[in-house]
Amino acid sequence: MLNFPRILTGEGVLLNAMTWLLQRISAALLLVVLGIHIWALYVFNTSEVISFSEARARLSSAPYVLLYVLLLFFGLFHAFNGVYTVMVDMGLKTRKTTIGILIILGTALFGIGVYSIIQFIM
Amino acid sequence: MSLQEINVKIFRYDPEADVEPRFDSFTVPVIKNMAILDVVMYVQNYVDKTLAFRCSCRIGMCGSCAMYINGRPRLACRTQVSSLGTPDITIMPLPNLPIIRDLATDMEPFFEKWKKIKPFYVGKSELKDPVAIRPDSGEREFIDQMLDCITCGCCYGACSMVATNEEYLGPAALNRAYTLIADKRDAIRVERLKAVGRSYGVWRCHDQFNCAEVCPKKLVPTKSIQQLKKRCVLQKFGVFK
Repeated sequence: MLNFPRILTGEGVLLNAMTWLLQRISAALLLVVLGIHIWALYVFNTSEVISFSEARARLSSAPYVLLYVLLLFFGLFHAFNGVYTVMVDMGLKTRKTTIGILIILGTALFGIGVYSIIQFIM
Repeated sequence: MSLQEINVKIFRYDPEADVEPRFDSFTVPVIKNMAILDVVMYVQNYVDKTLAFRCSCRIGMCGSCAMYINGRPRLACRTQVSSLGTPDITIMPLPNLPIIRDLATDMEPFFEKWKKIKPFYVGKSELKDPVAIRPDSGEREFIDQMLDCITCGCCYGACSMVATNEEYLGPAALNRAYTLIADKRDAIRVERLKAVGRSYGVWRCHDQFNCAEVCPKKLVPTKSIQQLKKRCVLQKFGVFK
C-alpha cells in the first residue's frame, strides 16, 4: 500500500477544505487558459480552417507550450478531483486506494500529454 | 380554481405487516380553505381510521406534518388544496427517512445528525451576561434570517445529496451549525467547525438549492453551508479563530 501524507487520506478536514478550494481555483484558471486557447484558435487565427501546420507552428513557441501544459494540468486536476468528489458523494469507502489510483492515472495522463506537446518542439 | 371533490392517492405501508407499499385512493369533498392536513384528517376520521400520519400545531410552527405532496416536500398544514391547482393529489411520506407507517416517518436519523453539530449555544466563560450583538449588525442580520428553522425535515427530504449519501449531515443541521458558528459569543465555534468540516459535513453540498426551494420558512441553508465552507478554509489558514 502506498503511504500518502496524512492530509491526503480519509476523513481529514484539511483534505476536504483544500480539494474544495483547489477545485474552485483550478476552475477559474481553466477559464483563463481556455479563454486564451479559444482566442488563439478563433480570433487571433484568421484562417477559415485550422490546419495541422498552423497547430504545429503554434506549438513550437514556448508561451503556447506553457499554455497547453497548464491547460492539461488544470483540466486533469479539475476532472479527477471532480470524479473523486462524486465517488465520495456516492459513499466511497476505500478512499486511500481510490486517491492513489486517481493520482497515478492523472500523473500518467499528464505525462503522456506533456510528451505529446513537446514532440512539436523537438 | 373551485373544486367540489379531489382525488387523493395516499401512500400506505406498514413495514411490520406489508410485503410492499401500495397507494390507496380516496375521494374527498373540498371545503373552503382546506389544507392537505384537513384532507388526511378527513380520510382518517371518515374513511380509514388506520391511516397513520403525524401532526401537532396545525399552524406551521411545530414542523411535524411534513409530507411529500404532489412531488415535493411541504407542510401539510400550510399547503392549501387550491394552491396545488389540480384535483389529483398524491401524498407520500417524506423521502430520505425510514417509514414508521404510512405517512409517518422516523425522524431519528435527522435528529442524530442534528445532535452531531451540538445544536445549543455555549457561551464563553469570560463573557458576562447579557452580551448583546446589535440587531442591525451584518452578523446579526444574517444569523436572524436562518434562525427560523422548525426542524420539519422538508429540506432533508428534498436533498439529493442526503439521498445518495446517508451519512451527509443535511441542510438543517448545517444551517443550525452556521447560526452558532457565526455567533462570536459561542465558545465552541472551532470545535463545531471541525464537526461540519469533516467529509460528510459541508463538502457534500453541491449547491443544488433543493433545500431552499422547499423550506416552508423560506430559509436558504445553501447560503449558510457556503459560509461554513469559507470558514473551514479560513480556519485552515489560521484566519478564523
